Amino acid sequence: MTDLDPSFWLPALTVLSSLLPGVAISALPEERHRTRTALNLAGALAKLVLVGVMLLGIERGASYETRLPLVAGLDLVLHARALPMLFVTLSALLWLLTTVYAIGYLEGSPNRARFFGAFSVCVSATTGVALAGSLLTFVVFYELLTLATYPLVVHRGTPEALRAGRVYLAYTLGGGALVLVASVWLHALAGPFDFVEGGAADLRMIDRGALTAIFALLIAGLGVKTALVPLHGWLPVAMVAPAPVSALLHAVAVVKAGAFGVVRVVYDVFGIGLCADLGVTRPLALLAAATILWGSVRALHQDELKRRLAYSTVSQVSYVVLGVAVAGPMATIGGLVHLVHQGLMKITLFFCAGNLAETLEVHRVSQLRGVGRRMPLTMAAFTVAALGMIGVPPLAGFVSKWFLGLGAIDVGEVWVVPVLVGSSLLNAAYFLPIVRAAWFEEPAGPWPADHAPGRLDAPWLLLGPPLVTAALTLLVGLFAASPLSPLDWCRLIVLREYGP
Amino acid sequence: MTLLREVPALWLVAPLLPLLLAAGLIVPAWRAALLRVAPWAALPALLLALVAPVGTSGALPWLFFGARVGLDDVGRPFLLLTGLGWLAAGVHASGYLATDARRDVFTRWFLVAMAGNVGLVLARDALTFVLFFSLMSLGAYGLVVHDRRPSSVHAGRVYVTLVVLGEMALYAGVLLWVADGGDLAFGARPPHARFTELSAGLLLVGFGIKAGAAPLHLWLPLAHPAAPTPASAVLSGAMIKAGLLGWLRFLPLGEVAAPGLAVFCMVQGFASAFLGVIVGVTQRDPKTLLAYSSISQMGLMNVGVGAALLDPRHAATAVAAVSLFAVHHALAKAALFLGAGAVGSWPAGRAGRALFAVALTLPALALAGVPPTSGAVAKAGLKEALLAAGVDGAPITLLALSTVGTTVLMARLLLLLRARAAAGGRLPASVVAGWGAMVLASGVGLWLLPWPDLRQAVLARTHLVPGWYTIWPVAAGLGLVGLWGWLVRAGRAPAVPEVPAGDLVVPIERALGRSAETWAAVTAGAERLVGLGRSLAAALGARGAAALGRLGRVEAALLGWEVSGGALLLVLVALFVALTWG
Repeated sequence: MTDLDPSFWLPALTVLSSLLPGVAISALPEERHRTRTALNLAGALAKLVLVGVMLLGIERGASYETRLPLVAGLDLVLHARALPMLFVTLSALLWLLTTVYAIGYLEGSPNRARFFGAFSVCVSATTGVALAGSLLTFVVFYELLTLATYPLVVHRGTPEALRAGRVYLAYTLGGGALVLVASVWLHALAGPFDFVEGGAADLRMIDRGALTAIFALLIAGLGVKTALVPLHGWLPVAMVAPAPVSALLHAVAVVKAGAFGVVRVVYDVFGIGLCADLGVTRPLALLAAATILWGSVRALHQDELKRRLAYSTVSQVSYVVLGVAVAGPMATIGGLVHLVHQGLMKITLFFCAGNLAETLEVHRVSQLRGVGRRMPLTMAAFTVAALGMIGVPPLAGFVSKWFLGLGAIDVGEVWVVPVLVGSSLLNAAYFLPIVRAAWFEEPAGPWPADHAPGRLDAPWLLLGPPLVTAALTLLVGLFAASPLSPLDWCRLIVLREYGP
Repeated sequence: MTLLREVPALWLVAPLLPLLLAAGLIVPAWRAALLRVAPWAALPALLLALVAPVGTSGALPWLFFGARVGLDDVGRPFLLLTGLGWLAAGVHASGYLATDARRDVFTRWFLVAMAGNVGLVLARDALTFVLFFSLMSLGAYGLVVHDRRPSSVHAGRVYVTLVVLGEMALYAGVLLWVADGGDLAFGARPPHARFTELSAGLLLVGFGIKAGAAPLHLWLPLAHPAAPTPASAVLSGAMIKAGLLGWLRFLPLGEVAAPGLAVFCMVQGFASAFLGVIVGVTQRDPKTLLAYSSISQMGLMNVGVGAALLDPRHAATAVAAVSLFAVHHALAKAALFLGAGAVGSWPAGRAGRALFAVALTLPALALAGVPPTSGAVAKAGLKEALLAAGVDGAPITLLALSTVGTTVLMARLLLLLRARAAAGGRLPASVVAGWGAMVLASGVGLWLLPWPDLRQAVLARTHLVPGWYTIWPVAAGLGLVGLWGWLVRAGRAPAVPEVPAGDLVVPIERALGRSAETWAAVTAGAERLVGLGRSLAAALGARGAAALGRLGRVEAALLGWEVSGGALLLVLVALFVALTWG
């Protein structure tokens, strides 16, 4: 391998593509608006190109791995395979859109250098989490993500934001510590190992009790970011952050990093076979089911729009965990594809919530009456995403729900079907009233002025991203069977995870 | 027609045309032009029903989960009634709503529901069917709440609640159906194994809501009359049949004998049939009465579905009879709804009045099953299907008694309509055209069907000469009406209270109101539980809180990020770069 071998450098470059602009932006003076925007967009586009190159390569059977010795016997490993690419592609695409949105959203507000600097590091950390080729590498980037997100959560500097930041740190640092302890324990027992499709083979030699304990520790630690009940408390509190940060927390990076960690632990550390032998999949599935229902029940009673969306995330992200834990190929497809689908739908909802807050100062569900006529494009995007969350065909959410249900029946876990039905009913109960009020009711009073008829309902920087993600929510469902759809890619992953 | 075989995407023209028109109507500049085209949006569907060769279908592997579309023996009568019903209603609506300020909004929902309805008939696999079914349900909501009156909004709420419940039942039912068959496509399936009954039960509920199967009919007497007249006509004529088609597509007809399900369908069907008559006859609003009549008639079709479930060998006969019944009912019911909307424009001239009277009476006679109308043929076909499946005795008598009921109901309808007849402005030509087309189609349509095979299947065993069996129930019904009239005139008629539209909705909503309080108490308990957990955590973490307090200072320091942040980042990058080069 030469130093210029692209298959060696591409994963590292993908991580650096957002880290370097991040550093440059932090060093830039606040008023260098154009340069900052150029750096942001250049980084986001560069990452997208790198990801595209690797995607095409992997489809043709190539593999990419960056391996750097860290200390004796321990390597920093970044590898691009089918599963990591699912998450990297999602975060690269959504990062670009969120960056565009954030540029529009934070126009004229203070501390933009700090914000965009931390924002870029956050995405680098997420890319690292996604491409991590070993548990150790994963932990390094996972912790970096926690730290880089903190300044974003407290960005506004209000007492409420500071409190949210405190809660966020307490939860995630605690979770991170558990993951670290469990990883060290596992390394002590098994020696260094990489993530391997199907699980690291030599784990079967280890005492079952210890393995089960390590598994529980890992899930408890990862469960914090995944917002598994009862570790979800930080997520609804953190919704005080600006809308682009919420998008990042809920769709691009943080909860996704947790859920992706669970996928990695189950499939590429322990292996689904060993997990089933240990008897840990059923409890995990039950925990996920409880989270799905509890998050939705809590969402019902939130009048604050972003808080309702936050509880909805608690519920929806556990679809991923459920799909992984039910442990059949079909259910796994459903869980993995929901990693992407939930991201598209939830980021749309948060973009729209941000637009409503920015344009009309609307923060509460009870203020949404008649808003559809005032902001038709925003509410159209919101409606598509909300219907997708409920699982109305042919939107993205239906595809996930279909494979989860079919996969569960496939392996005899029929109880999952009523859980999914219950969750959909609850989703309908807290999303449909919003949609109905927005389109079919009269506004309570006049909206703030400054709206010329025939004009867009928000600046295009704020309107473009949710329209794109809403369109994707429709397209990934409507053309689910087409090659290179998220569903198609998840089939490929599952083929490799369950392969011979 | 080989073109359809070569390019299966052409099938999609029928559902896509209305969908694209609906999308185009959003653009103000195109509105006027598109509103002129919109009434004809169902034309491709009708053309396909008349000329597309039966048995052709094509795969669209790129669409959704890999879609299959096409036309088969079961689909064709449904495509005919759907195309014809939407076309007539569309033409009618263009005149009926000409002065409505929100005509474009109505048309948009109308086209969306139309696209769903046409698409689901053409679907040849489970998920494509469900996709279009959902689209139709969504579009129909806009039709129900169109005028925004409180009663319409209430009807809309009841409708949406049941639609959501129905969608859930369908999701679970279709999931089990696919899990059992291992395939999405309609058609040949392996013998059902694990979930036949459970899946069939869920699908009976899911589609039953659309088909107005009692006790899932609650929304129907509220929503069908709430919508503007042309929308009522398609709701009660074409869209209600989508539920029936769902049953024909998904229930194990012709595959296994399912006596349990068969008896269930028949009992449910007769219960619906009589409930519709008994509650319907007390109604004062003709449109509500018509909605109850739809519940009653759909019940009779479900009896036919029961016959098909009973004996797989004769399932095809029963399915043909039910399809024919569906066509008959869709046309007659649409004609009656459009007629009910026209009585406010009662003409002054004698010839006009006579014409109006005929146009109102003819479909009513058809629905009652007076020979030689389409209703007599449909009912005779249903009876033959029951006999072929080995059902005799009580069900046959009940079928006849239901005809007595329908006759009474239709007589009541005509009396109500006559009482409401009032001189008004002239009807626009398009309203007359849509209504007239429906009346003609319901009168002579069945005899003109271009499909000898279907006619053969149903009519071969049916006596075209009216027999005693078809005559006595109608006579008995008319006798009952006469008796009642005599009682009323003699002042001896007992007082009959009007059952509120939606019957069971009233007690259910009262109970839900009570349980909403219970639910509030439950969730308040949940909130308390959360609070308890929080204070517990707070008590446990009292010492941790002190540590968190110290974090506050770190936080303040971190907020000076402009200074320190860049430095930290530089360190991180240096570390990364050093590692990379190292």
